[in-house]
Amino acid sequence: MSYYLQTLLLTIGINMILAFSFYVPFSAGMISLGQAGFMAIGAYTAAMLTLKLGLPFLWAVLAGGCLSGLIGIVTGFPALRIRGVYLMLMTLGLGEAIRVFLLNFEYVGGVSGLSGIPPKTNLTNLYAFIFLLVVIFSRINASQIGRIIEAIRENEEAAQGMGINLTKYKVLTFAGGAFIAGMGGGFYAHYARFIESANFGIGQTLELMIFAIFGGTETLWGPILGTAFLTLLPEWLRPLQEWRMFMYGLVLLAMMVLRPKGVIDKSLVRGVAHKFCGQKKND
Amino acid sequence: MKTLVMTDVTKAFGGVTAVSNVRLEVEEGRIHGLVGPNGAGKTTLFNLITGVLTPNSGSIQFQGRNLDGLKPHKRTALGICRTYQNIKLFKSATVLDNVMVAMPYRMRSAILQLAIKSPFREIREEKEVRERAGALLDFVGLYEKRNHVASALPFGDQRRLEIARALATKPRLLLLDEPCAGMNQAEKEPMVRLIREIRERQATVIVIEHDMGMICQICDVITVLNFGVVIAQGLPDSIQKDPLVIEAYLGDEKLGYDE
Repeated sequence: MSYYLQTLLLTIGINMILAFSFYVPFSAGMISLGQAGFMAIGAYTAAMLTLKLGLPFLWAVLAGGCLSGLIGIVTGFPALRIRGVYLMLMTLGLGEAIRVFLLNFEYVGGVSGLSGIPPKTNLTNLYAFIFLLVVIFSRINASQIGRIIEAIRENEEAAQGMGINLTKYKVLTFAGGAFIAGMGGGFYAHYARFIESANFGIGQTLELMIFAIFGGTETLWGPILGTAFLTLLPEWLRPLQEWRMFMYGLVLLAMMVLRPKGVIDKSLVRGVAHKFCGQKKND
Repeated sequence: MKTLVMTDVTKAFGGVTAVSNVRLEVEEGRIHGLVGPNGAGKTTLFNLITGVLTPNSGSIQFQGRNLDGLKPHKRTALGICRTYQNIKLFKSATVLDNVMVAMPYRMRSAILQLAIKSPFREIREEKEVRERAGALLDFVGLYEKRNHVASALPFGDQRRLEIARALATKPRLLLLDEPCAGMNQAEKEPMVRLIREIRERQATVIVIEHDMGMICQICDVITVLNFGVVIAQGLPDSIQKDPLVIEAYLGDEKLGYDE
């Protein structure tokens, strides 16, 4: 496999995990703009563990995800009380606070960043993790937990009125998103081999948010396939040279007008499932 | 036996007292009507009972248990559930999912089964809940439409779905907030029958309704609210003749009817 193709596939995989981390809290109606911050926590934690302690790669990544998820739980509680734009602002502040903290934290390299991270991320471990994510979340979505999360997104008041514990499920999904972003950060660090706080700014968050929303947030296939398409698009548009990003913007605009719910929505997935798997048993 | 006892409950929003010193006792197994002009505090009363709002003073007891400080979802678990005046369904979910999500679910055993069982076999809890949800949809007459998306249902069906969803929580006390709002006479008939059948299922019902004819037809007891105060309470016959009620509904002769 050519080096170019390999790099491209690794970038797509890492972006998929991050777009997925945005989708998880979004599926319960929470827009988190702090995902790059959670990614940074995972990236720095995993990198420090392999660099300084020589921990096996996967354990280090998992530890990064766990620490990020833990911080997700702690920050999830205040995030419960606020909604919409205010939650976006709070999480934006959280992400920036994490970034600036890492910029000033000399122990993890501070301004000069963290270099010499071993290149442990490869196509096998990266895509195995994505496969695991898809399997676990497709089972969650098809279960009572999936229905509860959907109910919370659709109408919080009615969900609570039907006996759903909002605190539990909102904190759970917020922390779940943080955990996945942390894992993604760990994979990123061991792919890029050099990380600095500037990698985890608001631009990064916005990018993965676009991936997820463009793909569609009604099903888990949206963020996965949306990421693949939008990461490949600039590559396909290379012949256009300086007009490349202009076209990229136009494609985004066109799709949002034509399919405001994202490219892949529920009815599309249902249609495809129907075609390939026949009638589902609950129909 | 009293299912619900409200003692001197007061709720004010800023300077406006929406509910003032309300005493309300609801007997088990009854259909209790709650009537009053717009802004009388009927829906506020429902919000206080379900715990969406906290009273400024007074207490609410359900089956002998004080509800003070209990969160809404805990009250639902105790057996209080409601429908909404402005329908609040989970719009993009299917009719069946709307009902299933409200069912009590043994989550721990379900997760364990989910983890160990093959992805192609349905877990037992899921199967039971799906069957019960199907039976409830059959009860309200929506079984044929179980795979439709909730927002695609006609208005009357959406109200019936809300009732099925509320029944899924196994309520001992069901609060219906204007179940017939916006319906014509032909549509009201089946709704009246449905409300009667709910009582047969051992649930106590409190129903808010503007249509005096309908409320007198189905209710055992009626409480009339005006400006947050209980102005009359009693049997349908006596309520219809109560001068205070007539004044509240029809207004002073000088002011005229403005609803």
